[in-house]
Amino acid sequence: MHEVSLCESILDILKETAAKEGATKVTSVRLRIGEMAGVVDDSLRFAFEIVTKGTLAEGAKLDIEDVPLTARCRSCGREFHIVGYAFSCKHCDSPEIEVVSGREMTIEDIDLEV
Amino acid sequence: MKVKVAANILGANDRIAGENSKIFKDNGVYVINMMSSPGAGKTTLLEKTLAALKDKYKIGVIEGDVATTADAERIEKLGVPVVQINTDGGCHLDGSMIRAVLDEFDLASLDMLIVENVGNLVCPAEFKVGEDHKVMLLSVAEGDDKPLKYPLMFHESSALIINKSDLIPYTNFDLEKARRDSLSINPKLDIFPVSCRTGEGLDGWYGWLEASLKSR
Repeated sequence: MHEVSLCESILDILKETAAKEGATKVTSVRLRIGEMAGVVDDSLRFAFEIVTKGTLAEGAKLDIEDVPLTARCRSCGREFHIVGYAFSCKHCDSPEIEVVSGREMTIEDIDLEV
Repeated sequence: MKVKVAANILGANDRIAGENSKIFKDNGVYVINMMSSPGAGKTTLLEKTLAALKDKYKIGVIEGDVATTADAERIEKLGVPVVQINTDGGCHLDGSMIRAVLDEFDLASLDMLIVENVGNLVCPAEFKVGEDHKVMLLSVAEGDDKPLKYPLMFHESSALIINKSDLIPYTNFDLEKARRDSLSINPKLDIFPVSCRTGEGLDGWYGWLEASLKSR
């Protein structure tokens, strides 16, 4: 539902980067989106198409890399994939875990035409 | 030409929320970001909370809604400073919307600011506004399956208020299941089953709010 706001933020970063590099067109964008980022890939693609219309990123290819939700246990030190949103260690049951990945929403790199 | 960016998409909002947070800290204001689905009872909980605590602490309120000033009018009747933000279709509040209305408050005189977010169980959880704590409501009529269906908000919140507990006998809401699933997503979550209609359980919530205000 907030995919449009996200795409507006993405477009701001694309414009800023293109201006810095003296580019006139963005041809592709690679994103990393965490499993728990609350983003639906299809909605993001749809919103991206709408938001970039008439801008330097119109028609740019969107590559989305999905990042699994993983955590590290502070008690036993092991890392594991969180399944079913169970935020306790699956080895020792400790609730003292820290999320290592799965919350990210980043633009990794972009292809520009000068 | 390939350019490495490595930029957080929410970076701009996170930066503004961080600046808000500093403004709040400099003025000694404790900030709650209150979230839930539409109709879970945020405004009613706010009315009860203000009535209980407004003589003890100076509290301000920001009301977020897609449209209307109905909620701000309800809060204004309690004699509490309130500002309504209409998002005109936007599904959540963000850091810059909060920043834009801060001048409406005498921040230095406030102990606490409660931000009532747009009713939505998904998006508000992603956008920081500069709060000390996120607090969420779930009403029993929504169903006990919501924690596992919408885990992010449960994961991000410090307290969960399960409202409309007086309706439990008339629904198949399983309080223990809701509690178990919420704690599985967030083992540190403080949970308060309450009924804003009968007043049951509200003292526990007030106690939590006062304790976190004091320990800020």
